[in-house]
Amino acid sequence: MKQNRYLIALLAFAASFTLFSCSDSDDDGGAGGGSSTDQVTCYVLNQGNSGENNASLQTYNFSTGMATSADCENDLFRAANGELLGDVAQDMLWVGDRLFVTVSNSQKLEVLDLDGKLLNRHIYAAEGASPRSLTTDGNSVYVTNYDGFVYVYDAMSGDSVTRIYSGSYPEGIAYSKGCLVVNNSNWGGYGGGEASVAVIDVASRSVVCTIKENVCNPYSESVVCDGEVYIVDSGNYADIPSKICRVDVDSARLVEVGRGSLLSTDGEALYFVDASFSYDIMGYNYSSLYKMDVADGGLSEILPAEKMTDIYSLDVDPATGNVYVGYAQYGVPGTMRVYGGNSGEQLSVFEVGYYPVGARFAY
Amino acid sequence: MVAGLIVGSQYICSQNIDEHVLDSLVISESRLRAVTESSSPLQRLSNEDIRRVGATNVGDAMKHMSGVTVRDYGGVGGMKTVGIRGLGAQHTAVFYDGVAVGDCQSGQVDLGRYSTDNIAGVELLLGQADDIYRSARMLAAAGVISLETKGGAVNEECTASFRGGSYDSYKGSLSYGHSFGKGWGVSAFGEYVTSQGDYSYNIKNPATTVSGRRQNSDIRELRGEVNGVWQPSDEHLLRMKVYAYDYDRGLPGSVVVNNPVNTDRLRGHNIFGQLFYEFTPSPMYKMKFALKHNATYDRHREPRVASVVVNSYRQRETDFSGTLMWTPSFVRGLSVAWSEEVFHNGLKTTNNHVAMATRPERLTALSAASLRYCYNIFSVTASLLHTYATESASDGTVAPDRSRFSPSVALSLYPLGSEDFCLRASYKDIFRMPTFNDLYYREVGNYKLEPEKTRQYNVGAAYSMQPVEWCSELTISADAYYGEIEDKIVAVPGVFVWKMSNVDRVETLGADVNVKALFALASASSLRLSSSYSYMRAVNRTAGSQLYGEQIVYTPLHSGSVDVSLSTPIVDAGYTLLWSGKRYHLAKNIPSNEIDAYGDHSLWLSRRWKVGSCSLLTRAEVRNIGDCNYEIIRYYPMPGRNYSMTIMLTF
Repeated sequence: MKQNRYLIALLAFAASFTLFSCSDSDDDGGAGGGSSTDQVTCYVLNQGNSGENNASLQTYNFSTGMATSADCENDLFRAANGELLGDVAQDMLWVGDRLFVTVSNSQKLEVLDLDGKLLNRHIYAAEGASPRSLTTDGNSVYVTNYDGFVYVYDAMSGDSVTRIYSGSYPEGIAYSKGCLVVNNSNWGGYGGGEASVAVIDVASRSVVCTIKENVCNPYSESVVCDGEVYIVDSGNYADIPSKICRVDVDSARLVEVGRGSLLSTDGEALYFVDASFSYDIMGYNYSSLYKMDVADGGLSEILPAEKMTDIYSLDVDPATGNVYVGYAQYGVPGTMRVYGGNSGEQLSVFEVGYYPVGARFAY
Repeated sequence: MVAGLIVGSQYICSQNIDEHVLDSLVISESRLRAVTESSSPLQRLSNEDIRRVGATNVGDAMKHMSGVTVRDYGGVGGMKTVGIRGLGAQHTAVFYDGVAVGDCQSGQVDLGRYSTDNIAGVELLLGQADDIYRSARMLAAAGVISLETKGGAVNEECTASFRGGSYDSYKGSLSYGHSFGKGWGVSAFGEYVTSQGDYSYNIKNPATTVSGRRQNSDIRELRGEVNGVWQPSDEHLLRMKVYAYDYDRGLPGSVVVNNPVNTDRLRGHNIFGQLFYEFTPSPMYKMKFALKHNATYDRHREPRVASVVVNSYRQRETDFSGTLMWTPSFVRGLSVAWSEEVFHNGLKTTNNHVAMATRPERLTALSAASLRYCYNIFSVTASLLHTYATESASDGTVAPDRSRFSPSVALSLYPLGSEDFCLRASYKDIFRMPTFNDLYYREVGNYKLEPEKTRQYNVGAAYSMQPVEWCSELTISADAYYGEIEDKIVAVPGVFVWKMSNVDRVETLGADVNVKALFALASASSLRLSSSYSYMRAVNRTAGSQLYGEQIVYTPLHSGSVDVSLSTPIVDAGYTLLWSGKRYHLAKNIPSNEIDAYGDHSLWLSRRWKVGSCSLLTRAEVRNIGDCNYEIIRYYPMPGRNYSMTIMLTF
């Protein structure tokens, strides 16, 4: 079985060279989105609580319905390496048979194999450094870091290549059409700089354009759908709402698509949910989960708003179209529910760790 | 404070009557209400007790009391806050020489900042006070910690003290008191503390050991105060105090896997002045007034790669209180008191959020009517407190005005006809206002928060006796309690942003037991034993919550302390144990959230020397002799085995 997984992963990696234009930082298909959907394994990264060193990595086999432990002391990483994953996991990305994981408070990038075994590690020793989001062009892996840079690593070896200055507190990142689009978050307005969206030419490794107009708080959400980059500008969590924008690289501006806080894609359509705190109900107001076909702008409701309560992460398996929704409630480990992308039917549910940040898929 | 100390009265609750009969007998020492008299649990540590247990700050001293949960972030400069009986530290009010120490930003006082060198005694009262002649603010908290400094009573002496210990820790202090006669006296105290605090640690969990050495734990503190006392007659007492504190410390943060570096720093100062006046025109009436102005400045420096983020926080508080007590001569045993207190808090910070209120201010008015009636072997104390709070800000939406009545009542019964044995019961209904952090901190704050409400019930007994000749003192107190917290304020996760919310309901069922004994030994020696035990079942009772029935965080089911000291004509020696059962550092009671139980054992040896007219005290101490690497707060390791040496000269 393990050999099959490696073989499938290798084939899928090769396929990814032709499909990477639909890859993104949130919904990378790992092996590029192969078709063996019956063997899909979902890797779930759990952020953990800040200061508690309880980030964890677990797997869920959709076919068998079995999930490995989400407990940081028994999770995949701890079992493979005999140590804790660390403090506040941020993002993960499949490239071939390599899993790249950023752990922000631990200030490190981990390069793992399919079993979670550590192959390579990069520690960002500088004070204030904080590795955040990941994306790939198939050859390299790009990591945003709060020190202002995008770090470049070889996708096969995981070795460091170079770094490119992006802006104030880079957060979300996506690759499309030879360019990286980086959300310079300015730390939600507290960074002392300026929020912007930077476009970096991969070939020259230089910033070719910086979008500042109508940019408030571009955060971690950043996907590529039908070749275009879509991001979430989170507003100010008060009177400026969170919105989804298409990054128009040619005209160097953001084009608002709609309201939304969490964003994912299957490569052809956007999936999004809006969540904002409301003083009227003294709690979070959730929208339905919507699917938008970017080709014709068609909008359909996948899940009603009541099923979005306590949502924390949103991912779509690009091969099956199934939607993985991670939920986080106060004080307890989270849950993840799998819904049919078209039917909205709940297909399965399993326990995850504290604050699940994302699901990625290997075939 | 001056009070009559009377013995031989046929009445148990005799203080008011005794003042009437023997008002010429005045002792210029604080009359400390006996623990066994109190109708609510009362614990006290004298300066000598504090010295015996080796506590260098008030936070450490509080660990030797029952019913408290001290959150200690470790090291010399680590923050130490005290919660009582499952309530958060925001429900604990701290008073310094009778005047409140406030923190409108976080609502909790770091007791690690208060050195014990200048402390004459620490008192912890849980629930309703018997002493109704106190400020309204003292009635407005679930628990009250009173710090009485040595400056409260001017002694004609000078004391110099120096302490050196592990991790390059040094502390030097100097105090001086002088009486000018005619009721005038002044005292001054100054202290300097420095420590590197770079102790090694091994944090163990079932799977992994995280080892290292604490970094950025250094601290430098300078504090001083000047006190003035003027008591021209028995009718008038005037006290003044000016206090200043300056600090600079590293913030080591929690131990983070793969990232030992933290260079955040905090520095700041605190200056306050307070004025106290008491007027006793007749045995039937007495009144007191206090005025305080406090200014606090904290500056948090976060070095980043490309820049340094600096945020400052300025707090100001002005407090005025007045208390009048009437003891009518025609109703024996009755006392009535009226307390008014008005205080204004303001916070100015650079760490604002654009959509939140900036420069919030709060004006709080407290009015309390209290009554105490004693008859033969019975006493009852009741209070009704009204709180009104209104807020404003230079910009943004503020919390609505609050108005609330809070009743409390306490009963005592002395079945043996003496103060030595007391049966007691009390009830207190109180709440805490949301802090400015709760309401306005960046995007996390929530200006619509409701106050956190509590109800406390206590029944208990206290007995003091001399059972045999060789046991000159034995005091036992045992209390059982039940408490409720509603609308507990917690941070609730959301998409990218957490929000403060009223979520939880907590019920606490517990028991506290305290035993103190003094045994006379041969050759003018004595053995002193002091022990406390707490059982605290504090569980979440939020309907429908996945946390229902779970023990709340950082609250051990069992905890306690043991202090044994041997006093001989040559040397004194002692042993101290602090122990705690397992706790949970996150709300879900699962094994990976457990923190191990610990026992911290210490030994000390001291000797007093007479050098002419001077007294010299030398003391050596080994703390945590088992070199136990334990944590009180998860990933904030406590120091392992460490040593200290103290020399104190009094002349």
